[in-house]
Amino acid sequence: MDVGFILEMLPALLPAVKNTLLITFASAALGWAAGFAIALARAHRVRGLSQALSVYVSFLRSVPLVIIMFFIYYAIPTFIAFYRYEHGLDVAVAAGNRNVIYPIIAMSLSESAFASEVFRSSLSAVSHDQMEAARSVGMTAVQAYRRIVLPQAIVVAIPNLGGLFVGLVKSSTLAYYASVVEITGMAYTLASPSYQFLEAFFVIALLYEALSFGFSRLFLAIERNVGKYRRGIVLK
Amino acid sequence: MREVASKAVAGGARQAGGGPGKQAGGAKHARHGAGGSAREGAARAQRQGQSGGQGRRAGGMAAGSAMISGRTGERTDGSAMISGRAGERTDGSAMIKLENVRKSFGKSEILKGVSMEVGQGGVTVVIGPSGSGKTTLLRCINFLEKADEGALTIGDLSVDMKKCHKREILAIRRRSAFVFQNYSLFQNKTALENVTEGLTVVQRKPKGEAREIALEILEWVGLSNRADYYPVNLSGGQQQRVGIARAVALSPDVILFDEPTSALDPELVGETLELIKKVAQRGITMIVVTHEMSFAQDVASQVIFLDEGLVVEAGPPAEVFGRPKNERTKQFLARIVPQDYIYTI
Repeated sequence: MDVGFILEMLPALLPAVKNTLLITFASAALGWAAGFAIALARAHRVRGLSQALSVYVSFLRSVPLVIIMFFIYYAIPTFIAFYRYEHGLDVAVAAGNRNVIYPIIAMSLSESAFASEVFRSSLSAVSHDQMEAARSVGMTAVQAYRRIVLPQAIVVAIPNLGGLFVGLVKSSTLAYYASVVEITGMAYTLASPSYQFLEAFFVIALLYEALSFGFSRLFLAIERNVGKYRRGIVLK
Repeated sequence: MREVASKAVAGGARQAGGGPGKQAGGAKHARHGAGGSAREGAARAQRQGQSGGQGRRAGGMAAGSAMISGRTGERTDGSAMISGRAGERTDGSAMIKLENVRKSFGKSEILKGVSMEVGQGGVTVVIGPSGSGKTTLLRCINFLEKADEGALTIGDLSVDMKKCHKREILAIRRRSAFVFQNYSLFQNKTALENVTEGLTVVQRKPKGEAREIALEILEWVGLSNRADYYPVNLSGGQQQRVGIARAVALSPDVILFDEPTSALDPELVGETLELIKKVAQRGITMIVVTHEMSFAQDVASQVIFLDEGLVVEAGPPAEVFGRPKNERTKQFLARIVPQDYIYTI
């Protein structure tokens, strides 16, 4: 193994880490927000919407992410180009550096489906009594959700969200197919001239491990903090 | 089965703190009056009830008015309990009134037209076999279940239970509080926060004031040293006391107790019932669903026996327990009330 090459490529990888993190955080934020909305709509059995969303979720959960990624990468520019041509709308097609928008869209879509299931199960894990107690005190449905039900549901959801988040870090490698240079893409580029793929992939394997470990610990810390009522810590 | 409109009015038989011996002074007087005409009996009962009430008040124990209603006296002549007439109550207005409440789950009809009235400050105990609709009735009052039919009045607010607006439901809920069988404390809140939550969020009291009220009430239920504990760290009895504190803190028009002790072990049942008695002494109107018959005899101003979704018998505890008129009530009580207990009344 060429240690010199490893030391050389590490600093070159850093800008790519930025892209990986950008994709991961953006998809998590968008995907989880959408997933939460989906879970709420399905938990309340909003007529029509609920059924449509269940099809959406089942579809996005079964189609491989690469295919969604390709679809978004090719379909959106084509779509925009079509509209520009037909309607004279002046919308720029994202290209070059702004390509990150494609993996973010694709991963948010996929993530919303998975996250919605996490939220749905965590909402149903909170006993219905809690809602009833809140309503009996005189809270509105929104107050009851915000103050009583959601804080408890979140605690249930956090370990699974942590898993999803680490999954996102890894899925971000697929952004390579949308011409976004993130960690894997950069490693590939750096290794190509001298065919030192072994070293390159070894390094990024460790890098991914470090990222995942860090995020896991972060989620564990959050879980412990927001879930302290479950372990029965006495304040003061 | 006859449907009995229970119009007994609370107040009289409520007593302050003693055992069965001290119990139901007003009702006893009323029974002595049974020799005369119904009207005379009623009048006598009222006078005696009043003096009895004053005596208790002088003793510094009774809360709220302690008058016996004319109607209680009227019943003593042994006539049928059914009364369509609106009674002349000596006790002021009815706090809660339910009319013809019906509720079905799927094909099974749980409540088949229940009507009842609870006077200001009265303690109504609802008894009856499992599946008779006691809990459903209570949940309908708080709109945790939506009744299929019926009218509900709490204080000056009347609603049609079938088609009432969200705002009305909220208004009803804000006039009532619920104590659950399984406590249902907010798991993510400390004992103190469980009590303050309704005060700050619903009643919009400033945090400091809410905290003061809550601490005072926790002290009153004997849990001031557990204020910062989460529900998981409290025993069942302590949790239920917090549940009661949460309800009392809201100073509602009525507190609904849904089998508040049936999830507790025998030792804790006692302390919880003592606390509920204390709540009654504060003069808060209460409806209690329970299987604790001695508690019912001790604290109730009105006992309602519910069977198969109908009010079968209603009246002061001395009447319902001592001299049940309905065959079904007799059957039920024979099985669950020890015979000697009936004689101690």
